Amino acid sequence: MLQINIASSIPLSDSQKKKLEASLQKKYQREELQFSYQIKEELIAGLSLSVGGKLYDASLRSRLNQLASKI
Amino acid sequence: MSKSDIFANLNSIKNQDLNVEKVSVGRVISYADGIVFTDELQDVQAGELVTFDGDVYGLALNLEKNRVGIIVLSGSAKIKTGDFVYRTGKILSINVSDEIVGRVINPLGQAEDGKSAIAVGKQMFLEKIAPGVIDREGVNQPLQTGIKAVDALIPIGRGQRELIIGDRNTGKSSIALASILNQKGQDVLCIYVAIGQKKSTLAQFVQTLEDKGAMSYTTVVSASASEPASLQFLAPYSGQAVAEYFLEQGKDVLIIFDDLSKHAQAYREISLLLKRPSGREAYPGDVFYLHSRLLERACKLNKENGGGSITALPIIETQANDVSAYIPTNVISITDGQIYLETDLFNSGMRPAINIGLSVSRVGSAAQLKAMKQVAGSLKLDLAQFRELAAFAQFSSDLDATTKKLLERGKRVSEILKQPWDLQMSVADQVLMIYAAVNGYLDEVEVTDLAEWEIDYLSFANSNNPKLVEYLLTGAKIEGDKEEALKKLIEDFKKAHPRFYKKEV
Amino acid sequence: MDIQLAQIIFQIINFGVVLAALTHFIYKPVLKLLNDRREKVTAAAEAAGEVMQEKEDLERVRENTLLKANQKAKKMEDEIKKEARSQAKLLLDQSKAELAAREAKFTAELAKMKKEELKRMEKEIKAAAISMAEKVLGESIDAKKHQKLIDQQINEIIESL
Repeated sequence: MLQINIASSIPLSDSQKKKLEASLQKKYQREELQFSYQIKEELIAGLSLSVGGKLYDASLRSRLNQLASKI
Repeated sequence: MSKSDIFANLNSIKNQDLNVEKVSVGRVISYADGIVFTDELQDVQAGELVTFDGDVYGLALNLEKNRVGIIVLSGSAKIKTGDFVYRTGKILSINVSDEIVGRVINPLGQAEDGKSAIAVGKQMFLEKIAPGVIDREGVNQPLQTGIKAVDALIPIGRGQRELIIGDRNTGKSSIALASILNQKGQDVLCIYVAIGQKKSTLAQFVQTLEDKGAMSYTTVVSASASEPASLQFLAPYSGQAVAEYFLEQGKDVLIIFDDLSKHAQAYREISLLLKRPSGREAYPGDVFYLHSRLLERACKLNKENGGGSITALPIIETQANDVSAYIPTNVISITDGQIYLETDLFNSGMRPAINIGLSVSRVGSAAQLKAMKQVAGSLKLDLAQFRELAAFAQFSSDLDATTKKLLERGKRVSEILKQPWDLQMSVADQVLMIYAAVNGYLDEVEVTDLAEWEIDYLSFANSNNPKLVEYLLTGAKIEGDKEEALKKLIEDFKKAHPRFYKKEV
Repeated sequence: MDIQLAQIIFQIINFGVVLAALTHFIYKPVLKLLNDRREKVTAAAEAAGEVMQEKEDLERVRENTLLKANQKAKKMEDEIKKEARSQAKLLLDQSKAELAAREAKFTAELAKMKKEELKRMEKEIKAAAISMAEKVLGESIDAKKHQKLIDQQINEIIESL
């Protein structure tokens, strides 16, 4: 059973959720997936997705952090 | 540096390519007693620094298939379940620079003495593999502790590990303190690692060092009793990392671990909380490796590698004089000898309370000055004979003349080995005193007058024949005219101070 | 004149005896006395001459010694003056060198402090810039743009999976 946590800055629409779930299902075909959605305002704008031991962060906040560490 | 150079970095923002950030992350499953268990944290290395949200750091120690055991190093109050744990990719290291001398730091390298932060220098790893056999050299230089009993009978060399072992309140820390104070002007840097001690004791210690001017060459690493067990566990390794910074510069360093018993207890606490299997006395199976990898890093390097040395004086506290307990036997087998302190000797007034019979230095006279070697040989013999006959001392009126003489000599020799902790004796003073004792010049002096005799004699020697004192300071062999001068000095003192020499009734 | 011959002979013998007696008892001792006195005087004169000579010799020696002592004293005085001057110069050089070393150390330390200060400023500027960006972004994104961003990011994530 794989736990997937999705955090976004504003609530996602159903179509968006479906799109994400479908692609994740495709990636982790063999496993049963459990999705949990959270609202996190500090992401400024965007969403982050954590599955297994990996975090995919596409939010503006993470981009700003990337900038801060790169310069 | 012109402004444009520094801020050129900032302007490179325009050229940055931002995309989805992919990092290894875990989530906190449980947090209790300073131990965090997270679910799978991919690619994390053993001993890697991990961070929870920026300024809270942890050390990943237990790597298992489905979870990672992390000990929290600082700022623990902010951790909640469900928090993310991020890898930093860095192995635990401490920032050391030349300005660290004279400071009090915690095991993470942060300043504890209220002064400014340590200047940025070199990052020294806490865990490091000890120098190999080829890089080392035999111990050949003495480390003077300023204590007669140690320098004469249990000599310590630069690069040696000498264990100070004894019950509580027998003067272990005092020997360590005396050794540090005596390194003034000897071109040796000192590091004092305080593990699990009361903050009040440590504050007093640091104050003493400052008053005697020893802080100008001493660094203190402190993980006191209220610090988490993780910091107490890391403290000796931090101290060792600082020592290695100076070792690489070719300097001589003296490091004191006070004490490793509490260190083993902190490690036991961490291991049990990490659910590692326990062994004898509930210590984990690798408690020997805990100390051996620490003490093996104390070494003497050969000329090609800088010629520096680290001398380690670990301290172990025994319970009820039991040196055959688990941790004491472990550390005794790792070190190059021990100084064994006994409560009985301490209570009977013999301070330092060193049991000469059970104490040994495996490096021995290879690291002793020639003059000291000369006089100390007879010293050991006198003491051994005295110990043998000590039981008969009560019957002193019924014994034959030879035995009585041996007893009297032994009493005086034992008496001159007593020394207050704040009196450091130079090599010259030590040789003068021991020479007088083993050659029978003290046999006419009352045992109770010996302390005064010592003070008067040493000031007499320094004022009457400073050339001889200078010669003795070099530690070269005493022979020929130097020996004549020494004998004459004692005779002159006898004439000048007749009050010490009792009249035969 | 027959008595006169006997009387003349008697007178001559008498005279002769008196002369002999005089010579023996008076003339010789007196001569001896005079000789002795002359000898004494001569001896005294000689002794006095010797003493004078000795005095002159001693005078000469005294003068010599005094001269030598004066010369020595002057030589020592010169030497001491020279030594003092060279010592003073040495001290001056030493203190000059010390001052130069201290100056160099200060300049080095100042340069280091300046560098550290600049680094610190850089960090602070970075942090300020980021927080400014955060604020601006947070305020300026309206709902539609927000949605569009999220759609965009979903695609990015799906790509990078």
